[in-house]
Amino acid sequence: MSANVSNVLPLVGVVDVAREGRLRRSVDEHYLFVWRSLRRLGVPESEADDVAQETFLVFSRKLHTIDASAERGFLFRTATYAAMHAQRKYRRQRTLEESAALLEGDGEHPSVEEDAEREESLVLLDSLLAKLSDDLRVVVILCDLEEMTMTEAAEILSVPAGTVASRLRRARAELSAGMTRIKRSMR
Amino acid sequence: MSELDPLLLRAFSAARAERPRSGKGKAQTLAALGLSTATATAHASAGAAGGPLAAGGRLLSRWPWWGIGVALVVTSGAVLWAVDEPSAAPAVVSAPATPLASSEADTIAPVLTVDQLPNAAEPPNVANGTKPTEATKAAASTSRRPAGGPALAPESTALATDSLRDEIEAIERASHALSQRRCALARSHLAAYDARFPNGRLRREADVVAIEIAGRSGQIDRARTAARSFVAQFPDTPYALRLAPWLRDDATEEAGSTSVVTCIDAAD
Repeated sequence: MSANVSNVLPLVGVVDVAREGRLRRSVDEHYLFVWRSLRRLGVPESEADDVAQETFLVFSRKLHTIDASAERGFLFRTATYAAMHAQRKYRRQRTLEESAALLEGDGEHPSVEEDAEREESLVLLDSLLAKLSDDLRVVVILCDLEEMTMTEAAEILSVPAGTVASRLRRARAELSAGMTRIKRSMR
Repeated sequence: MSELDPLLLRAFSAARAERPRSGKGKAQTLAALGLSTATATAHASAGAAGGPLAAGGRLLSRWPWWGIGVALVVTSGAVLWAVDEPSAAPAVVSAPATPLASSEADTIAPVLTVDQLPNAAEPPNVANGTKPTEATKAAASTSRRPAGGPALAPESTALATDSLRDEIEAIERASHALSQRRCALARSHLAAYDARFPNGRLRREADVVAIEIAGRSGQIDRARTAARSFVAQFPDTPYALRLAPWLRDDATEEAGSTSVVTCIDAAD
């Protein structure tokens, strides 16, 4: 048994180090992607870091079953589940406090006006995304916001590329229609 | 995309540019994963490339020198105590620094076995530091064999094939097949796991994998019932997140939804 132990323990060390390295690289590479996806899936900014952390904890537990090339897809799918749970606790829309805090600015940004404009754009986009069905929303997030190809999105969503293409067309049409409605209401 | 409203395109750009306001969330995530944040990327590449030696070096570099001194004093004390009371169980357990030749290893009582590691299989009878004989090893293996479970070959009992590591590997095969969207294969691996570890320590994981297989292969009602039963039995389980697709009220539509990865052999 001692011989077995001496053989096994170094292996355990190698496995641990490799796992640690992979986890660290994954967080470095995909944290922003997960965070941004969560935001567009309706998670408030104040909660996005926490939900991203939950996502990576699930990823860590399942690491041994995830192919290196499928990490992004796994993280996105996990993020969608996590966002769904988060939405039970928090409203989809940004809170007034969040918007106010952003508009007040903290002096670090070069232009408060630019920030306000960006914030308006995000509020507008989130309100339009909120009206889309889940199927259409995730396609917009992956293809239009994360700039993935339809093939990449299809791989992540486990649907044919043709389905992604048709959903993207529908999603864009609905977004455009929503935008037209908003413009009319502003006149 | 060019046909989209300019306002919408601007909103897309704003969304692409959005970032967390600080790196705190990422740092906290790394910490929650048990990874230090100071030299994250450097450690990742050095650790992966350097193997256990690099890991050992890292550990040493993190230890203050006074810490090593304290450890030496404690270790010396433990050795002296062990010499005074040879019949007592060793106070300090450690792995040999270098691999032992098998003949040498057989003459030395093990200070730590795989079976004694936390969460490992039921420990064999090595009370009072006595060397386990082949008979005690066999007895331990027999006692660990689940009642009614399949009899194991003598060679495999000698290698303690029913250790936690084997159990993990068995269930990993099912999980891996599932991640490859091969439900039929995952199901057969899970059946092999069930047969080999009827009272396994990863029973809950196995149950969750079974629910995932059912859900991903189109047996939505079955997955839904099992998922709800599971969560009712273990209300605070972290597995609830994995089972979320089948805990929703609209779970019957999940197989065709984008949030569930269906198997490519779902019809099996």
